[in-house]
Amino acid sequence: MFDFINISKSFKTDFWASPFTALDDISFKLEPHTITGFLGANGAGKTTCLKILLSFISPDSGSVIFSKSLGSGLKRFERIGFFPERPYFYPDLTGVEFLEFMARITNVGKQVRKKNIELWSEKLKIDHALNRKIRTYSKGMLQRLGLIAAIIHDPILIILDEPMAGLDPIGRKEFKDIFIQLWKSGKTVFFSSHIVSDVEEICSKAVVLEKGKVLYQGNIDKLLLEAQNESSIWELKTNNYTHPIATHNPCEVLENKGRFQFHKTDLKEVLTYIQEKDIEIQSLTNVRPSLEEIIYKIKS
Amino acid sequence: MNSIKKTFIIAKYTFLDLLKSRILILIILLGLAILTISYVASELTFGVPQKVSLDFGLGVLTLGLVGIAIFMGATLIIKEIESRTLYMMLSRPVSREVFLLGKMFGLLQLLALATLILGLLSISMFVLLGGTVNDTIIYCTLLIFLEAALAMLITICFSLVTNSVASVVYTLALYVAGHAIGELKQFGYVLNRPFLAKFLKFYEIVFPNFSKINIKDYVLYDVSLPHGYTQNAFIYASAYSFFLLFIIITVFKHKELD
Repeated sequence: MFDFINISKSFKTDFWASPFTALDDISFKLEPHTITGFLGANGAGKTTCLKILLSFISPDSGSVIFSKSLGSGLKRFERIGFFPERPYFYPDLTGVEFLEFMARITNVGKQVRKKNIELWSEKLKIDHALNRKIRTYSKGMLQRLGLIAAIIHDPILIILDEPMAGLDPIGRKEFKDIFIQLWKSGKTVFFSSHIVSDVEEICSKAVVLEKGKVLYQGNIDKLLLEAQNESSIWELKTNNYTHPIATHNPCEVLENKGRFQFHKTDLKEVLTYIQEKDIEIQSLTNVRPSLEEIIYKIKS
Repeated sequence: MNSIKKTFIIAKYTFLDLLKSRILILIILLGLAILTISYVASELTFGVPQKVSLDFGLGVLTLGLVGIAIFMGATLIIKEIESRTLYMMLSRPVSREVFLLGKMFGLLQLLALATLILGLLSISMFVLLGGTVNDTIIYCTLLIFLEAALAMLITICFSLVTNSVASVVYTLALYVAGHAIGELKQFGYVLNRPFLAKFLKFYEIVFPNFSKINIKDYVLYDVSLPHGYTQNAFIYASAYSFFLLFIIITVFKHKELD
């Protein structure tokens, strides 16, 4: 959907201070029809990237090239839906007035906007509050309203900046389900987060940013598979066998419920021991590290 | 065509948001102040109570409108950046110029409504006390609206390059200086010093001269206006507004919205 090419950006905190580099020659690509997670710690440069992407700020060098399917000029923004971080909308408008406003400036016809407001407000369980002033909304409700505003015009590229920040677990689940639903309906979803498990759960691809540089970009499954193949930890599940395994005690007993973890080098010894003692096993697997652990490993 | 439509949509919702805020209560309070002050002043005055009433009415109208214009103008755009609503707007097919014009027209609509309410109250009180409405009073009211519009544009202009508190302070300074310049030019001290006279002339060209659009004295003292004075006042206010609008749009188009 877009190519981020060699983008650099530095900021000056005050007149006398020397500028600090927020983005350092970063390049990445967003494939169409994917859910891509944009990962990075606080201050890694995710929001700066999104601001450059949407032309709120200009890069010091580099360029962003959008796919032709998005169109050009202002027309492009009819096909993009954006949700900013920690949004706070016009407090004296009601929810429905705000959504009407957003839909009207995106050239959405009366019938379609009415239908979309009803559809999404019900899905996001905010329909009961649409006639209330926005200043009475809780943080979670504002997030929900913001998400509806971002997708009300049926965009093909949806860009979300920390959309799940501050949501309770149920809210997070609902948002993730909606992202999957949007992706299944052919949209491209690109969302930033600093919570790796959220990205691991629903994304097929990830771009990882660290101190203004791209640490990784590509398939999450591939990354996990590679890490799994490289993994040196094995886990054995037995039928409640609670005694130590192997003579040199190479196993770590987990929760004392017949689960053991051991190093790859001890595999042969453990297998021999199992055979000798005729231990009933449930499974023997190579432990798959989480995306979070892999990212920590890449960083270090 | 599409841009004009979007400008009006943004103006409509800006006006709606402002109208639903507490500003309407302020306008109503100002209206009550006009009625009370005019009544009390007319009771304490001998001779021309209607003139005193009109004097207070136009005074409250000016202070109220300029106050609303400056304080609302100072946060009109900056608040959008801070609350990130601007990002929501500019990620739509809306250009920065259209967004800016829409926001300003929204505030202008509020100022027009305030002018209508407060102007009508002032003039009604004046008529109730035996005054007769003439063209000059109507022109004066319209020029007060333009004065407020000019103050709003100056504040917005400052707010794009500095913070909202500083933009209020700078606008108030320019507003006071802009009203004083007409009198200052007539001071013997200035007339005897060509350098000061030249400086004031230069100031008048660059900065807004509010005394040029202030015809309250002509209204209150029943002095007939010099030929073409009102026309020139309207032309001056409009031309200076367009000049400020050009600066605001140019600055905002190139502003880093971080």
